[in-house]
Amino acid sequence: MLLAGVFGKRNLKAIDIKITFPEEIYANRENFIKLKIINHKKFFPGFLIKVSIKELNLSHLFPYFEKEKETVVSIKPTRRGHLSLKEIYISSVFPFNFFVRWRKISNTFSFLVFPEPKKCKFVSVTSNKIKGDKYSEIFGFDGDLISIKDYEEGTPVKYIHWKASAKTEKFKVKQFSDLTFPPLIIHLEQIPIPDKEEKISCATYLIVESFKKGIPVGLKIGKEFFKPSLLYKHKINLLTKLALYE
Amino acid sequence: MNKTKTYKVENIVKGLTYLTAFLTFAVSFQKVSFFYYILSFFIFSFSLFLEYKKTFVNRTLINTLALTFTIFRLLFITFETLIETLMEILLFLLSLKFLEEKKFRDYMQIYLLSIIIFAGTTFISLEIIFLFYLFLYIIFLNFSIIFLTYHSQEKNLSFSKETLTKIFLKTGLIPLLAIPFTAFFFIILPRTDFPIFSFINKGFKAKTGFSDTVNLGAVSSIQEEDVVVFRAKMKKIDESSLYWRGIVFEFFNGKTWISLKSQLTFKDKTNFKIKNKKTIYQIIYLEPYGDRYLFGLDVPYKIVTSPGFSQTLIEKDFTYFLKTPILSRIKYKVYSCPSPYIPESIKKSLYLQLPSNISRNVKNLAKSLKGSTPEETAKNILNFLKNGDYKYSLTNLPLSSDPLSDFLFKYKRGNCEYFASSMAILLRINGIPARVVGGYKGGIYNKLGGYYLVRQKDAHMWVEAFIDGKGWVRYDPTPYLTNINFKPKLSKIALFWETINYYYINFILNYDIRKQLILAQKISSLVKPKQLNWKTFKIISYFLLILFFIILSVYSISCLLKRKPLSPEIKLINEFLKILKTKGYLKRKEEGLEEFVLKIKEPQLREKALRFVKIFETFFYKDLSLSKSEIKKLKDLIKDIKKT
Repeated sequence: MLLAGVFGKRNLKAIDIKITFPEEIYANRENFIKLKIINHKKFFPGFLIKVSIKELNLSHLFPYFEKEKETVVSIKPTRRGHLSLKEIYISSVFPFNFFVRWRKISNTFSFLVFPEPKKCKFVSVTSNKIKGDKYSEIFGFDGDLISIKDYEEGTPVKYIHWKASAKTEKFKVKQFSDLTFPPLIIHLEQIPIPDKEEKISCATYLIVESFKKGIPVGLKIGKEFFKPSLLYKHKINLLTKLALYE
Repeated sequence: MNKTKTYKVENIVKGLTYLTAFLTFAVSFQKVSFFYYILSFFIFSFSLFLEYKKTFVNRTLINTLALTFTIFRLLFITFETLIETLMEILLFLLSLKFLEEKKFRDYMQIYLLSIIIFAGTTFISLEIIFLFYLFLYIIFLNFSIIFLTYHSQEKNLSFSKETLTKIFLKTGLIPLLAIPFTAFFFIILPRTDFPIFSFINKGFKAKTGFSDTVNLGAVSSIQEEDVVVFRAKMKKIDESSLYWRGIVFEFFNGKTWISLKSQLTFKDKTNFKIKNKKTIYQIIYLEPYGDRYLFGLDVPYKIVTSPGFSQTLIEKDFTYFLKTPILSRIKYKVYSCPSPYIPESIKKSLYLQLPSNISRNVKNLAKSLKGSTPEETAKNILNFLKNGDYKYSLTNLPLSSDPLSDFLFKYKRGNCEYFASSMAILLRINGIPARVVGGYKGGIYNKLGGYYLVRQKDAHMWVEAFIDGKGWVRYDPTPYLTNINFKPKLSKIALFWETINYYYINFILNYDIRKQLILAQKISSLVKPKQLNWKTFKIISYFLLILFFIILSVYSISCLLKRKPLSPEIKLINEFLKILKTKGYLKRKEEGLEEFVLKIKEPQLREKALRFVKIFETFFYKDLSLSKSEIKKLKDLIKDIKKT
């Protein structure tokens, strides 16, 4: 019993936790964080240590590690805004499952949770309601047929212009223009959804989707206005604004 | 993907648990009866097969079996076979435990059972190999529990060989540290009833203490032993009357005194009691000291054992003994008369026997001490030994082939055995019947507890001479009690601990369990026939077998009842499908009812079946229950279908 106590206590000593967060964490979405457990003891490895993070309702078991061990765990924060992890515990039933020994980790970790992106019914980035799709002069695959040119190795088969190939007896491929969109400006307060959170979620969705599609997005929030841009930093900036919107 | 081979923690736990149990079996080999050992071991081995097949025996069946067996074994329990029987039960339970599907709780139960069995074997006997087993056992048990802890935390955990080795090596420190700790506590903590490590104590030197035979000239020195032999709860009496009678020796071959068990004499004890009205009553708590004699204050005329005590008490010359040595503490009551002599009529020749090789010197000495009356002769001899040149000693004892002569004329030193033997022989030479009595003399009176504490070092021998007209008169020729200012004392702390020990023994350790056992035995004696023969054994076995099947059937019935009764709808559809099956249409599982019915070739049958299905479906798939009239309608339809 005594030895079990000594071993159990020693096991939890000099253990540290480090958490690495990704750039974007969204509320109510599965996000992956890196959880690292570090053992500062020289000859005593970590046995069966469970890390519990109260704020995230998360617990992960590290069965055995010598110096350190890293794992990826999924988290699902419930609300947007700043989230600090203050109550991180390590616990273990090692060695004999007689009792659970635990210790609080003194480190705190803070990170920003972006609002949950929710598809809004009234508007869609790709819907026709956003008028004025514009075809650029850049060759791409999504726009209109611009011309026919000789086959180049690597061009997908579906772009082969069979009729033209038959006529010329040479492989000809279709060439399309790339599709670009006019910039999108979201006026947060004017989104016709009464609920504030829903409104924010909608705006988040629009921003995220627009960036995926390469549409520059601007945001008007309160008195602030952010010009449309496609820079990643701009995206994070906009989402931060939404995350912290009161 | 990393393809290193991994080992499931669950399997490791299983393996280690089997090893632990195997060790338990190994250590209890020959400690329990062969039959139960083989039975348990067979079940245990069979469980390995079950484990391989991944099939397990139902828990209720196991519990029923365990209960039946336990009741059966407890019926035949006695104090003497107590530990053995309990071990048999535990071993059987352990093997049964392996038959079922094991969860965390079950593993812990297995460990607990095996620990108790391990501890239990030390009560029966202890060989040096046990320490080796114990060492292995502690290591296996430690790993078992550690991996079980892992398993309890996460079911599907598995480790690579490398990690496993590391865990084994690092956690191996726990048992390695635990063993010296255990050894330390083993030394400082109080022991059990039974002298566990008696094999260590068996040195070359003899010890003071009571003995079944008395050998003169065999050892040169004797150690004084402080071990408690018994505690006698009684009033304090005069120290000179504190002779605790244990054994009487009649036959002497020149070196050894022997108590002749065949010479059992029966005395008229009631007569003896009337003549000496004063009775001293004692309660004796006798330690398991390794022999079979019960002691009482001289002269004990009656000994009453506690009701649960099943061994027969044999009496001889106011001494009392059992057939086998006392292996656990016992308690008994003694009624004694502190009489100076025991009046009785005897066969004199028995007590006048002399060794054939007795030396002339001794004979001459005996003649020189002869007085005008037997009493005077006895007094002369007593005086000669007690107040003469002879010294009491436990060291430098004469090691010789004629110890008596060497003691009397050469060394002139010896312990009580020499003094008593000399006096008895000197008396016998002078034609006075004499015998040697072995037991204890003195004791420390504990005022707090109100009892005498008698230790091995108080062992003593004295002489009884038969004086015509009086009977047996006690003579104690050993000088040490008078020559040395001998006043046994315990230090205050020792006395305090001794008192606590006494109460501990008295109230907690022993007699409560014993009382419960007595109760259990009384209950079992109601069921148990006095004489156990094959017939009664068969009856009991049948009874238990019937009991077993009753429990089993009650359980199966309750299981059946627990199953939800079939709804009338299900019954109907089952009936419907059964009939169609007889007509050669078997509904496949994935088929819809309508789809199935439409396959029927006979138009009449198809039409009827379809009608049934239509009605059935309107209710069943809407989760509506059928009304009585509808059920009747459907039943009629089924009958109709049956006919077509």
